[in-house]
Amino acid sequence: MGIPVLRHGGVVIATPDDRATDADLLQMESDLLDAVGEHHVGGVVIDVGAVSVLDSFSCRVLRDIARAVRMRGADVVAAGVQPQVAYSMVRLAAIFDEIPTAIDLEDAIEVLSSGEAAMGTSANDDAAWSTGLQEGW
Amino acid sequence: MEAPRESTLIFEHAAIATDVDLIEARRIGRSVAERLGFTPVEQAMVATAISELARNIIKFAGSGDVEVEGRFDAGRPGVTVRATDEGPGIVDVELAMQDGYSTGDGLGLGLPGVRRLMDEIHVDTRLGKGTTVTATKWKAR
Repeated sequence: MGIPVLRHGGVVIATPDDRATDADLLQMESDLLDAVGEHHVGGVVIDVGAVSVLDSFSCRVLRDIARAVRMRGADVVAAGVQPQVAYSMVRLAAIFDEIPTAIDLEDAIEVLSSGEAAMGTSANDDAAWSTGLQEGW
Repeated sequence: MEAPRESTLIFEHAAIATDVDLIEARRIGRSVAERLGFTPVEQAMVATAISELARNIIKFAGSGDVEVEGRFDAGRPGVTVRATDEGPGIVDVELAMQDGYSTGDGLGLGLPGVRRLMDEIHVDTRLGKGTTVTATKWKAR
């Protein structure tokens, strides 16, 4: 089916939903990296507002994307993590603690343009520390 | 919600062999939890636990089954997930349940995480025969 990856100005936006398979997530990873390279975009937003489960695999993919995109000189923000998804991720200790997060797409674009994303810090760093598991998985 | 006193069963099942099957497994988990009146947080926890258990099936056994049962115990709704495979079995269940030995980059089994998402977990494994992980989450009172 494929996850939509769209360019909007200097930002690339990916919008996965519950129909995304593991293969789709890996394709999204490669599409995002291609888009960053081809269009010299400065920022990537992964809008997970329509995703109701983020498990160990999808968190790992998000983390990998963030690392790879940063190496290409762009920044990544994850937007729209649903509250029930956030609770479940904390229980699972599947936390993308190195990716700045934003409440929604609009907020994410603001985070990117303010340069906050480049610092690689966000509120969920604290959550990761409190579990003591941020390096454990 | 008015719960019947005696155990009432809702039963859903998903055969697990590929990453596409994970989607159906998560869906039935959320659906059963929702029908029992679980909160969105509880539904998400059940669906996430199922996702991890179904991943273990694919990773270690190749294929298997996930069953999701909705039931009432003394009027309290519970969702029981049963993940069964005929894979190699788990050599050291105690080790697999230890926290450091967690999900991660696919090294551990993710069972400590599943235990934190659900209320009860039981692992029945036989080397060379297979594994059944049974996990239950009760609706918070």
